[in-house]
Amino acid sequence: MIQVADLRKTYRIGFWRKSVEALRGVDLEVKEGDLYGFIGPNGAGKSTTIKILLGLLKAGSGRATILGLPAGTPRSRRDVGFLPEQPYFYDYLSGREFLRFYGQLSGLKWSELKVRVKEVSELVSLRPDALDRKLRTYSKGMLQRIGLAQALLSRPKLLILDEPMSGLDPLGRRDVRLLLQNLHSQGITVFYSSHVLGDVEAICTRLAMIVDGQIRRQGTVAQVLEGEAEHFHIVLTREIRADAIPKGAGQALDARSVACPDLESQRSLLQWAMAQGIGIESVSRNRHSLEDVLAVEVAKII
Amino acid sequence: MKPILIIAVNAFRETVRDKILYNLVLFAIGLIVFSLMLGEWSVFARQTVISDFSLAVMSLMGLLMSIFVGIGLVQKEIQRKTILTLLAKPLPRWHFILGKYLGLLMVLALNLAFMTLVFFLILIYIGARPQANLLLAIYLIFLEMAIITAAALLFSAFSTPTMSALFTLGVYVAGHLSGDLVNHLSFIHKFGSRLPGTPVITPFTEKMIKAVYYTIPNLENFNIRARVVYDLPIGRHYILFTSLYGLAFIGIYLLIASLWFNKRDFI
Repeated sequence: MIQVADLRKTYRIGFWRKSVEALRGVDLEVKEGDLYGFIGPNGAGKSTTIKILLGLLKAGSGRATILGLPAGTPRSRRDVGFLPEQPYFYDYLSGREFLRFYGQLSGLKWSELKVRVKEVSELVSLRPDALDRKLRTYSKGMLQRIGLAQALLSRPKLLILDEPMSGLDPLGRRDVRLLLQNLHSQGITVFYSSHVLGDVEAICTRLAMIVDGQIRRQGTVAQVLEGEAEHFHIVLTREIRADAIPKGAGQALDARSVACPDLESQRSLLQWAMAQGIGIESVSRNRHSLEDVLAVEVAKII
Repeated sequence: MKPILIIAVNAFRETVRDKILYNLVLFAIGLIVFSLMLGEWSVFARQTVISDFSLAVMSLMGLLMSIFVGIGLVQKEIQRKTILTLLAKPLPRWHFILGKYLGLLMVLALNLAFMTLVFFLILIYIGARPQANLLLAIYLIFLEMAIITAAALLFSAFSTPTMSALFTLGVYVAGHLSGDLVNHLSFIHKFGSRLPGTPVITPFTEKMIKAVYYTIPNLENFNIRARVVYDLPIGRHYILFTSLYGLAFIGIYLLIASLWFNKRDFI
């Protein structure tokens, strides 16, 4: 469905055209039937990768294909639905006008459109009366829903969503999560970026973690967490600097928490803390989550 | 062609729902009605004054619409990021440019038609018969605005709204002066040595003047207002050749805009 090999992108920013490497050799493969999560911190290169796939950005070098066709060509987007991050739509249109406009651009016939508009608005739980209101009166959650609806109009084989849960309240997030699972069960391949790591962990069949423009880990959730099955989570009574932790005594997760990968590092950290006069608030034995793994990967580049 | 028309219709809908357009149209209608009073005050024939003034108002309003609405159409899409979902649809980017352009042309045509109606009603009101030649002048005003809109779209494909507005205004001003500049140049070539005090044109300046003349359309070609109002003859094929001249510039501007737009990154 999606194949990306050694994808690179450099932005030129500011008056002096300073170069910033956004992607530094990204390799990615999304197979048919995947519910694929794309995670990473802000600025890691998630949106850049997605925009290159859709032809909104030109790749510096490397290869990207969608449904077997070179990414960026209009034909490659024929069976793709897309929702950008924080979508903005034509606020002078009503919901129905908006969906009809996008449906026509996706190649739907007028007779088909009427049926599809009804179907997708039901799928994303948009009430019929909302469809006749101007988009400028929509709440953020409603805009996200109608954005999803426009992505689904043409019955895409592949759905690419950039942060579909951003800005939604917990119930809205739950709705989107259930919708993604529902679409996946209907055979639609879904590729979506997200900051809500718990959801990615719960619903994705596979995922990729991008940090600093490079894919650090990818595979099933179990594969990504492999080798990180357990760790000790130590919370200190006061804040410390990440670089103050002795080598081999764990990685700082935040100012007061440290992850120790094994018993030996845990012992080293406790000894160091006592020697520094730092109290221990709690020590727990945890299974690593995606959040921990991401924190570890991010810590490697700081 | 269908996606282009869909985008054009949406651009048309966007513009007719925009308040700025109504303000401009109301202002234009007000000015055309004002020409009735000018006709009363002037020593010239009423019909002449009203026609001359109304055509000038149409030209000015067309220019303002082309600049303000033309630039906004693409820039708003980029700034509000509505362009992301649109360009992610299975259509080439030049469809977007052409669709937006045609949408704005529809708006310009509708507004000119509306102003023409008011103008003709005023002529009928004072007992004058609107001449068919007036429609030729209005057609060329429309063509001139079509060129300016293409230029506005070209600049807005790679520049900020303010800079685009300035560049487009620059094309309008230079387009009305470039013909005069070339005439002055040939005058200086012919008689410069015989007239003391004539400025010396360096080869560089001459090249610059010619570059402006060939890259910017001579917009005075589209101004036949005086000839129509004072009932002077218009060459047999003038309208045809001027139309082709205008269409060539529109084609070139839209082609460059599309090529540029095609290269552009949308972050």
